[in-house]
Amino acid sequence: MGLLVKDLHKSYGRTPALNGISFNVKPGEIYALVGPNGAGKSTALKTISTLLKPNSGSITVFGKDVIKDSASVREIISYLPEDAGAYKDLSGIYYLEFMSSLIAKDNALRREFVERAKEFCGLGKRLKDKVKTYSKGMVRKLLLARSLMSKPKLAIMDEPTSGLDVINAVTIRKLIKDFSEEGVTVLLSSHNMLEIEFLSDRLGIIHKGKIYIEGTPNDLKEKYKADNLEEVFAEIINE
Amino acid sequence: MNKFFILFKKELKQIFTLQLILPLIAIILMFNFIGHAMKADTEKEEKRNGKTQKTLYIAIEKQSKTSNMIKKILSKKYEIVECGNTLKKAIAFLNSKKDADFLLFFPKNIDADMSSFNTLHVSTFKKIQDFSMKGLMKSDWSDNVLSYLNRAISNTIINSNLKTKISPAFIRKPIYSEDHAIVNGHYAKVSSSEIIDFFTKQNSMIPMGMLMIIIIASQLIAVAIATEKEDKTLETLLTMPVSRQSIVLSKMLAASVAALFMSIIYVYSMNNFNKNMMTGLDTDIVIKGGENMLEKLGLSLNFSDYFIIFSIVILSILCALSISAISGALVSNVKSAQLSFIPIMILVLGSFFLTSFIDIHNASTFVKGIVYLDPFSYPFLALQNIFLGKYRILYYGIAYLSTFFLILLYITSYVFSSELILTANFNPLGYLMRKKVRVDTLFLI
Repeated sequence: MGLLVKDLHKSYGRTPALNGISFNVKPGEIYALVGPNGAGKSTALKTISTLLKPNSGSITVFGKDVIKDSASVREIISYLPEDAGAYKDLSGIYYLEFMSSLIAKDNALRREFVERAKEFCGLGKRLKDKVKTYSKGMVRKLLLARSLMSKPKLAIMDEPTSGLDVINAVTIRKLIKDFSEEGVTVLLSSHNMLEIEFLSDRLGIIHKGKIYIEGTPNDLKEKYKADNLEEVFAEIINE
Repeated sequence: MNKFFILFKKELKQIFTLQLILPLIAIILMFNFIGHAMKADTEKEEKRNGKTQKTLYIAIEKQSKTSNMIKKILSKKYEIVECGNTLKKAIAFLNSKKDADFLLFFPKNIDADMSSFNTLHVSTFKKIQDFSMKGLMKSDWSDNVLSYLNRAISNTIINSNLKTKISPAFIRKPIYSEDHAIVNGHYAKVSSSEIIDFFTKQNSMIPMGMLMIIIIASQLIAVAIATEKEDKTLETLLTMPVSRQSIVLSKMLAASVAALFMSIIYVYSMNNFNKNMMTGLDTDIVIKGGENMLEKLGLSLNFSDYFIIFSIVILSILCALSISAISGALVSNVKSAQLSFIPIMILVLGSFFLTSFIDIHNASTFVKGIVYLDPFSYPFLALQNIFLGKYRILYYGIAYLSTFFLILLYITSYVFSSELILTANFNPLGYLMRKKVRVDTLFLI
């Protein structure tokens, strides 16, 4: 199993964020967590990414325990936070070189990662410019290239296309899909049902810290006799 | 390359931007320009004074035997210019002369006073032409005129009225004292005020540099961490295969390097400026008869002294950096980080002023307690403690600072390895605002 989450509980002080969620993601699969604001999507992704410690439950990424062996988990995952930025005063190429130096075990691998990221982001000569001169779409492409350049075993992406225009969003979705086909397992969260329908192999609808239902987009549409995922989502949330 | 150095290099690259380097160049150029302008001004004045005999403007209300004697005495040293026999005429004359800045006025009764051995009352008038610092530092040559005149008249009176072989100098001043300073059992032929004056002038730059290093480095690291939090680059970095200690330590080291660099530039520029400003003034008071009075008083440092100072300075900087790293990690944005830095600034500035203006060794127990509890007072006191041989305080300081730093390092490590680094959202501005609302509410009730 690529990712195995069992009975995960997490609260911020007295406020519960996750109330025992369980799900799994198979290797090479794209799994989406879908839910309204405050449902617990970002908390779940941050906990799996080793950023937050759960109150109880277990998470394993390709057999490695996230709580007990977080250092090993960080070797095989990449995390793309929602609305993340890059270092504004550094150039795009420096950012990629810096990040690849932290992941790659040797110089040859580092160069390989950078070349791959340069190709993915498609920023060309603009990579030499400082990040503060980039548009939001350019920054997101740069970050996505960073998160996929090492072909991690598990790529965790929080709202990968949030705030982007249609053209940029389409490019980024295609990039994620291409990578998944190369064997990268993807766990993402999104509000955009069209995006989920296009991207995900399976999805879990999360609300008030619980996963209400799981399945492929077609299974869920069939089960709720809906034309699209938005109708499925609205019906489940209103139940 | 080691991951720590990769992070350190990135931090340096982020700190040393054109926005930082250009103001530093401007500071160097500004201090250099002002210093050289003042030096040129002083040299010009000295050249002018050296070429010609100094002109002395006098006004005598009534010519007499005494006034003639005075003129004779003064003309031996100065070029005398008489500017009338009334005060009004003399002041008008003085005003019309650009270079004239001093007038000596002799009233008509000086002859009668001299005959009856009464004190002669004369008036001096000094023209204020310069309100700048340079104006204050110009030697007041008018005082020298009066002291020369007093000495000469006194000699004349003694020689003509006392039938003795005793020299007038002995009669005027039978006791001559030779000042000595004692420091920590060593003594030398130099006055204590000269030594203290020398230290104030020459060594004021060291605590200033320290103050700058601590303040700049603390601000740099607090803002660097808060910026990473605000831009969410920290979230990315914390999920990379790199230890969290490396992340925080690389930031601390880069901030220290930047602060050290800026302080060296500041101290160098200020020192240059001071040297230029002091041109022509007597700054070489510590060398007397080819002997260095500081060395004779034991006011020089050996290797172990340097090591003690270095340890105290480094430990203080590390304490400041740790406090700033913690505050930068606990706030939610850059504005809050800048505000959370104020307590450190108060502590550092407080130590700087307390140790500069108070004799801590003779202060009350309460003041001593406050000063010695503040970790930033030790670097400011280090030099004087070494010179006064108070090594016990220095060793206590090193032990205290080490303990303080280890506790802070533990807290920093805890904050960075726990989820507090992401979830803490302390907003000092918001807290203060909430406090204000509560006070307002109380008034309303």
